[in-house]
Amino acid sequence: MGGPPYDCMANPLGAVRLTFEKAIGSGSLTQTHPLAFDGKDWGALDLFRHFLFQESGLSQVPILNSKTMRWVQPNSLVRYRGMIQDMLGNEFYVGAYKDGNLWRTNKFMDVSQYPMGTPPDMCVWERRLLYCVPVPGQSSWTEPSCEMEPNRGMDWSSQNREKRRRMDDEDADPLDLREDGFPSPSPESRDSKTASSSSSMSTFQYVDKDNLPCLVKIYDSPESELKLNDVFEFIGVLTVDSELAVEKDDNDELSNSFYDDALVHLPPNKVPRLHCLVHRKLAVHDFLQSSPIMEPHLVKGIREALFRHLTTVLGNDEVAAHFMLLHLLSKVHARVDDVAVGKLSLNLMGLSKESATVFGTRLSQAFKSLLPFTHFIPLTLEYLNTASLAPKKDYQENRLIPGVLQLPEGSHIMVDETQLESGSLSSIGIENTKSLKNLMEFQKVEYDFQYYKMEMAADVQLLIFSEGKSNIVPADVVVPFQPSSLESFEIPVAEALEAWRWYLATVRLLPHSIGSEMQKVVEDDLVAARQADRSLGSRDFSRWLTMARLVSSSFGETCLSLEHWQMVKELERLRRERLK
Amino acid sequence: MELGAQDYSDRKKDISQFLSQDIYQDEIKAMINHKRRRLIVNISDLHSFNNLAPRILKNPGEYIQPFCDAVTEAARSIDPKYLKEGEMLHVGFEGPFVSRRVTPRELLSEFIGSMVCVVGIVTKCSLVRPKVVKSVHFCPATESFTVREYRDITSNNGLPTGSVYPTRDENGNLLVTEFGLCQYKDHQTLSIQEVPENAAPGQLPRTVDVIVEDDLVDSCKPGDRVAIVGIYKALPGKSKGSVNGVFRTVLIGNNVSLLNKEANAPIYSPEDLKNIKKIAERDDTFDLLGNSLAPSIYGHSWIKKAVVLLMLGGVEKNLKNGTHLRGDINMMMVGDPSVAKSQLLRAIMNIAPLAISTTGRGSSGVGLTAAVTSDQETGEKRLEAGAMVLGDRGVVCIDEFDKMNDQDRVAIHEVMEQQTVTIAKAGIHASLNARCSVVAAANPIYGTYDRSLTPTKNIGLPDSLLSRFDLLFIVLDQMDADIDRQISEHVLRMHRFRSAIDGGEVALDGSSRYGREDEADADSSVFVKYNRMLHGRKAERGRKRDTLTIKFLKKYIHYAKHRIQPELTDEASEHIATTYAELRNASSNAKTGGTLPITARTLETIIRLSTAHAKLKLSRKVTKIDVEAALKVLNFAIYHKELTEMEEREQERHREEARKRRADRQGPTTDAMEVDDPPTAQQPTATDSLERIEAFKAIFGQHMRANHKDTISIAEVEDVVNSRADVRYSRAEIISILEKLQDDNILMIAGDTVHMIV
Repeated sequence: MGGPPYDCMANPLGAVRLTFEKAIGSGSLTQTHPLAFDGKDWGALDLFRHFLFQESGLSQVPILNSKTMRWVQPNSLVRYRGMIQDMLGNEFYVGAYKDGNLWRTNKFMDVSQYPMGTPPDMCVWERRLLYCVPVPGQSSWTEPSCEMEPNRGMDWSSQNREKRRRMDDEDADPLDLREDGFPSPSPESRDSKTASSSSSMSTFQYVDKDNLPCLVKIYDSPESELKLNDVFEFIGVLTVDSELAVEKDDNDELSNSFYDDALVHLPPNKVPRLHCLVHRKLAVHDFLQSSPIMEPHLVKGIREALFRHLTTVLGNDEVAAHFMLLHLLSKVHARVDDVAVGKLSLNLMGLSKESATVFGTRLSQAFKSLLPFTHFIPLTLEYLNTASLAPKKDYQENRLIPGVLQLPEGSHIMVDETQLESGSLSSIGIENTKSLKNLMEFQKVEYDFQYYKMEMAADVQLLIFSEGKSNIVPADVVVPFQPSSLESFEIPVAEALEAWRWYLATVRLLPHSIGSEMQKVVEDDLVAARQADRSLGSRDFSRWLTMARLVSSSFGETCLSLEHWQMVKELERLRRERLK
Repeated sequence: MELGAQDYSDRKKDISQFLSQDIYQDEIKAMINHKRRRLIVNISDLHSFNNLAPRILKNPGEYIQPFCDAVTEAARSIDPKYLKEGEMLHVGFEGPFVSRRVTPRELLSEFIGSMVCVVGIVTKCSLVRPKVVKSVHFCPATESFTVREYRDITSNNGLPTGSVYPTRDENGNLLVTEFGLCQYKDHQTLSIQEVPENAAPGQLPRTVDVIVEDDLVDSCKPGDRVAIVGIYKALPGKSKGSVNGVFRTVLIGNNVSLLNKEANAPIYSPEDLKNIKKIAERDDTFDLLGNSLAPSIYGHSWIKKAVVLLMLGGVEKNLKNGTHLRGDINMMMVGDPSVAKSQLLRAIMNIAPLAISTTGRGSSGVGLTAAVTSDQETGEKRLEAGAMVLGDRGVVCIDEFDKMNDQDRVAIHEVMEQQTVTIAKAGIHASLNARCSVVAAANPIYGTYDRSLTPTKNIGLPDSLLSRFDLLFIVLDQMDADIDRQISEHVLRMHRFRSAIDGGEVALDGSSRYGREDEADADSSVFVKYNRMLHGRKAERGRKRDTLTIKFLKKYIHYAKHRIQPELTDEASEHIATTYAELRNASSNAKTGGTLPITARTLETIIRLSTAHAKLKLSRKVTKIDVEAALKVLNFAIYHKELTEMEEREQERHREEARKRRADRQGPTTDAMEVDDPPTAQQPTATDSLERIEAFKAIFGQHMRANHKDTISIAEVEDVVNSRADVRYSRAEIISILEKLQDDNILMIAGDTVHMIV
């Protein structure tokens, strides 16, 4: 055999086993005691990293979602993209144990095939459980465009050879047995096999067809790498053990009185388990198909096109379109004391209920095609009084109940206040408005832990439609909206959309600085402005500086120039004129 | 198992020896007297005895049972009647667990099978259930008894048994359970969760399950902060058939201790105490604390200072005739919109140990005080506490005070002066404590402040309510280009700061593990780390721009508020009296008037503010200097004028010189700011008493250091001191000196023993 004696794709566990055996030096007389690993990696991960990134195996690994779930094989390599919604703590497992004279590992597995010995012949290691869900409000363009077929270019024969080699080892696994029942890799048998395995998979009864949660088990990685609400791609071994599900019923009396094990509520037939080998944080760029090179003239071109598009969507209101562009580029860059620097929430006022619906749909369509994660909140009394915006800890189930505002960085929320009518708010409603306001002002969401509240930093762009200035959710910028035409806009071509997405994702990450001369100019301008108008405060100054940063970034520049500062002042002048 | 029995008796012999020490004989006697069933053993005692501690900590499973047996035997030998046949005593552990004192997050596989102390917040308690330990069955057919014992994961001896209850004997005869003869024990499961302060950024808190039994059940309730000592055990996965190799873990508790019963009380380290004293000794303590409060808000230094005083509060007095004189300071801010009033309130929320915030619009008078509600199903009447009752001993922040309707405002009249809420409604008559400081923020009646009108007209609130506020600040936008420049500089710095960390962030994330080390640093650090980008040039106009960290500020305020109860000196009272008279005169003469009516309540206000200032300086006496500082705040509040910086500095310098002159003349003791030397007013004895105290301190300190002691009995102190002193110290003198040292927080006297604090 020329290639490696394992197949990372179809039989990752085999690869893990091989590296383990190599690492402890089984076969030779001097075996390394697995305690030496202390639960750490022994070289298996390097192998997978090499396979995924050097040999570009990544693109071949199927993405796990409710569609692919039907044909993906258990114990094969898959990837899952999602947001960390809850952390279920540590799980202790027997990482290595002695079977006769041979050390075996149970890492990246749920069930071991061999009887386990007693403590001296057993190492207990821990792994972390993360409950992940598909990113809320994920736009359709972020999903991988080309659906991979079950007929992947896989080397079945080599896989089977590998299978046979370990046939006797594997007889505990019924699924593997079935695979071995089809020795010839002919298409028909593949089909029938897929059918048979899909019937065996019918144990998966998802409540929500499009929403496949996943329980990810993390090995050997520092805690700080994986934070709540982060969007990650996990690549690992998929396990589905219907066997495990049944046993949860016969709890003995002792464990009865414990916390119901969080896992009980997540039976494996509803939530697949992923034993994570490699994980990486996803940025918007990872969702894009291509990434052009940053070039000043290119950036300006894209900016111009996007601006025209936004202007059409906004009914030819150029001022609103300017602010909209800045708003879409805003991002929390730093937190100084309580102030989240860099956010720019936008309030389009002067909309009636009808026009809000018209422009709401237009904008939400536009956002869906531009931004990765978008949400729409209709701010009605009923919604406020019933919805649960802030996440809440449920101590009965020991789970974090997600709220609407549990969002990953870079989400966009559109709030329609025009639908709000006068009436009374319940205590839930008050809590909800408070949460919204908090998010707006401090970019923080308070998670309700019953005995205390825990503040979690967020980075969410908020856009509000309202008739008058919104006091419930006070935005940074209030722009009276004055559309002049309602001509329908044409749907932009795919390439243009792709370029705009890239633009929005890239430009907002640009560094920014203010030169010392510019600083002098800005300072003088601020002082002069305040002398002229006493109502201006540090908040307004802060907003101007944020806008200055965004304007200069939107042109792909990293340093504030006089021209852009003038532009900010001009925009502000236009806006104030409208407010009068 | 022969070997096992041998080991067992060896261990038991060791422990019996340990228990035969005098301390533990006494402890056991005390336990019998109090009718307790658990002996609490200090780990440090075990350390000094035969190196038992490490063995017990590492292998508690092998030691707990012999320990229990040994304690039971010892108790029987002391009082044979204390225990009935077959009854057992328990042991619990306490003391320094050092690396074994962990949070649920740190509880990793290395701790399995050993003893740990887990700190956390109780989130769930199950019902207390009886658990059968021994069941007795009678068989009517054979007329014989069958006894069966049950063990599970919590028991220390033997392997867990099954939980099957026999219904038939071997021959298939029916068995009748004799419930009266069976033994049960109480059993409860808890869950404890990491405390929010320790939660790592971006991570959710972890939980751990705990089992407590017998006397420990119901010793805590959800929401309590506890430290539970116990054995961390792993339960094998409960799957049958195949082995899934996953464990559930549980802590079997043997001692539960509640942590600081007071809400959010910080824990002071000796380092903290030292720093607190150091800060108190500074000349600019008041400025420093004021500046550290909400540094992101520019200016308003007097208001910030007033807030600091408010958080410290005066001294509350309950006279014999039932009069209650409040010590809490109430404050109101009225001013133009967008002058950071709400931000100040938020800063208070962050720093005060207990603060409840509400808005005038969002709450009715009933919601603020208390309400009677009736249960819809049972018809039972209930009292429900409102914000001010919940804020007892804390701060209540009311934003948009003007938006509240008049009726509701009247509801808080009583609370603000009498500090109680009385309810007489629907058959319930109750009086609830609401000893809180109120900080209110309001907009002027016409939206913006009209300078042509008097302050009272602008505020538009009735005098009856206004007089209940000790301080009323009119927060105006200051027309000053210089200030404008400083504001814009501040904002610019804030925005440039971010660009500075944009690049540095990556390295920061990679190098330190979510900044735990940094946090540990921050725990004890006093000053905010200076950042040029953020804080600007340090020596800006010759002024120090130090700011305290929020953590330290909290500790300082808590310490000063709770540990120090100053008294008025004659000098101070006199000064207050004259100033009050002056104020009264001024208010009757001047037509313009101040923001607040000058009434007898103003007098109390001065006293409260001066007391708060004395607390701030950690001084036991309210002196003239405190009164002056208080008056400055009050003057600013009443006439909303601020001495310009120049004048202030000038005055400061004059005062400094005067103080120096005075100090030169009278020696250092008159300076009440110096806490280390007790003021002369406290010295009734001879002139050389100061030197005697110093000599005493020297000998005493030397002795304590030399012997590495931190506790000592008073008799011993007497021996030690007199063995080296030239002139004999009498017992009374020693006690008075010790008390003085106690006042200075150097030591603590508990009965006959003295504990060193630092």
